Amino acid sequence: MNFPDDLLYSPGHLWVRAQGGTVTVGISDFAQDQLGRVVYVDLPSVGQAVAAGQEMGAVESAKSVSDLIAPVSGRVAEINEALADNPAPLNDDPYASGWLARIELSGALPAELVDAAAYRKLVGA
Amino acid sequence: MTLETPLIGWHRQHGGKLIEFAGWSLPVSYQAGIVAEHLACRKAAALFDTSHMGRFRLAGPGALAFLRRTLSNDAARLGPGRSHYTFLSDPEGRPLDDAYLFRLPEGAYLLVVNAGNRGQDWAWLHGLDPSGAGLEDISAQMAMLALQGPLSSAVLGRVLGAEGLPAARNHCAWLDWAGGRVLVSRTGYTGEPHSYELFVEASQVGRLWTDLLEAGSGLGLMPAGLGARDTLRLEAGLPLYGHELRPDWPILSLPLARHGVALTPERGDFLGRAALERQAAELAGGQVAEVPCLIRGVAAQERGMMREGSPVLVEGRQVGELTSGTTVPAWRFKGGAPGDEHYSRAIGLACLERQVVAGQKVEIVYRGRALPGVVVNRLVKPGGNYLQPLL
Repeated sequence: MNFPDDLLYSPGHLWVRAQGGTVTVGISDFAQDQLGRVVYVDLPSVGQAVAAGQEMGAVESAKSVSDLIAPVSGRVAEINEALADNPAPLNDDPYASGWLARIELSGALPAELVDAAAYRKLVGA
Repeated sequence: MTLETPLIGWHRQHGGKLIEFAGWSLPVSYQAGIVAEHLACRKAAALFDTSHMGRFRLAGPGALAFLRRTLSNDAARLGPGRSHYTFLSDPEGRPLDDAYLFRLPEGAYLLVVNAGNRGQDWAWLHGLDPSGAGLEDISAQMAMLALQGPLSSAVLGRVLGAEGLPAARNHCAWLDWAGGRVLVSRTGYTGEPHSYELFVEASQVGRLWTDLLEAGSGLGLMPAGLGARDTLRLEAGLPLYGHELRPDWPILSLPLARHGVALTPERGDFLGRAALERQAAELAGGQVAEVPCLIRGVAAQERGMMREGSPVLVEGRQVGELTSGTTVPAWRFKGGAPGDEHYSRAIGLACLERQVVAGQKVEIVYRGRALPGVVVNRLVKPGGNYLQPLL
């Protein structure tokens, strides 16, 4: 499994790419592997406030549904609209074209976010 | 201990994601994934290992009489090389299983039943005195594949020759193949206008599987797993036992079931006949008693999700619930054929109060959200060689 070193990872298995005051988030390779093929993703709305540790949407695979737990607190600035028509990038390209949302931070990054090495240990990879 | 089909080694070596289904270890998908496999079936072709299905052969002199008194459809209607949909009904007109009955070209019968019901069906048929029917379980000796999709005839022609392929739905024929023979049937579980099921000796199925994949490799043929098999059958509006057909629901709750029930006077009595006649009379007469609900298609009118168990509302009142539901991919059509772009849509089958008919606007409740949708008779329509999404 692939866990890029330039990203941070949340306990809810989302990755976070920090770029100043706005971060991009998506699901980790571990999460996509556990879910199986994603058939639908329920994303938050642009402008919606999200809170770290709280549900901000859901990912549906063929047989199960998993909540998307916001990895940071802030306001949703942009969502990956293309996933609505074709969620395949969530499985095939989770760190690039499978991104979920861009979030404007309302404060500092939560302490629960860990680096790739610590995340690898967490998921036993 | 899970059961394995003769193709288990191939599935493992080719990225099959194995899951347990009805006691069998089978791929839910291969590396391409459910979405790509579903789309391949609708535009080119898909190949499924369906050897987990139960196969019973009946070749005795009493086979026809036995089938006429135990199955809901009338086996006497089948000439050699023909097949039809049928049910194992209990005395109350409830389904023990739904099945396909084939009359082989040489006259023997082949009953194909659901994998999960095979043991129960076998015991049930044995409890109904099959003496003289020559009933045997040939599931292990004879393997089964499904080749489905608009290019399936072309793929099959490359392997078996174009001569002698059954041309009409529900026809079947033996074709010679590399010294052996294959029973080729124009049937399937995807709704595709071009669709085949293939029966071959278990020892030969590995070679038939790889020959078909090789023949179809330049045509877009893909191996497909149980996941796509389920989304394809759902899109085609076909029932899955345990979902649209349940052991405590009347058989005729499923409108499609009328194709598998023969209530003609000339065939005499059969198991469940009186109850099925009551159900049919109730549906014809309009009163509501034993069959309060019917299975209908439901299509979302906005992006969203629905699943089995989701309540279906009309103006805030619950009128039923989904028996199956998910998001399925569909091609955008251009000039009567699938184009290069695809999208996804939420669809389902639902058990709805009988007054709720096609065209009715509904809401489907899932995870606290009410998704606007509409009741439909069909979720796809045949467009020449293709199945085209409706809505």
